[in-house]
Amino acid sequence: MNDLQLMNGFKRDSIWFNENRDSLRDEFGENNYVAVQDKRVIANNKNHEVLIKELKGKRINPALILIEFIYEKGVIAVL
Amino acid sequence: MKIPLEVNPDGLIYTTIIIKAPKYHVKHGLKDFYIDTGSPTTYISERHAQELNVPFKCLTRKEDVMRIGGTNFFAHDMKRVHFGLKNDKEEIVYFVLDTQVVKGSKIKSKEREIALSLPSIIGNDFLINNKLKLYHNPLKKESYLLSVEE
Repeated sequence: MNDLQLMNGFKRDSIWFNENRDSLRDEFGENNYVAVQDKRVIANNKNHEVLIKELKGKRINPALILIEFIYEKGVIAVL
Repeated sequence: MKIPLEVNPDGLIYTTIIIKAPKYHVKHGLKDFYIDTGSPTTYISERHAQELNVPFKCLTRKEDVMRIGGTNFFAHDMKRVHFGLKNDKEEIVYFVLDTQVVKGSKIKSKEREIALSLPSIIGNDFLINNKLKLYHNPLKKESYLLSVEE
């Protein structure tokens, strides 16, 4: 896969995550990390390092996959 | 050159970036960065640095302490990082920038949680060094970067 294909796949997952944050919070719980690939959660854990290890164990490169933190309901990130 | 950006449901502007940093053995990575014109510097979060497998022992810690949300962070220099963004012609355009990785300075678990939940940021230095300006229309949730020559 070339850079553009990787980028487009990652962007699709990122948009999907943002559109489905509330339902993902209901399904996987708040204050949780989720790894997303092809618009589905392939792993989740409250501990980031454990999640990274789990992905590596599945031979999935954490550098190339969307890993997002599900904030508590009502928490808004302010930059 | 126009680089379209995404706007999330909270109205924050972000984009997916390809990260390459040969000096630190980061061959290829993809992460989302928020665009924050209130930040003077671009930085990679500790969480993303871990996912990219950045070797922290190879980074030089700066003396400055960054205070974000009541928590202190140490900035670590990361030289010549290649940032790849997608333009409106479906091409990946690369920009090279000296950047920083922020790492929590405390080992308390609550502060570690905060440190790991921080996003990576594209700051003003990225826009200035690469001669880009930001267009943002919050009413239409439309946002993009544009070369200043245009």
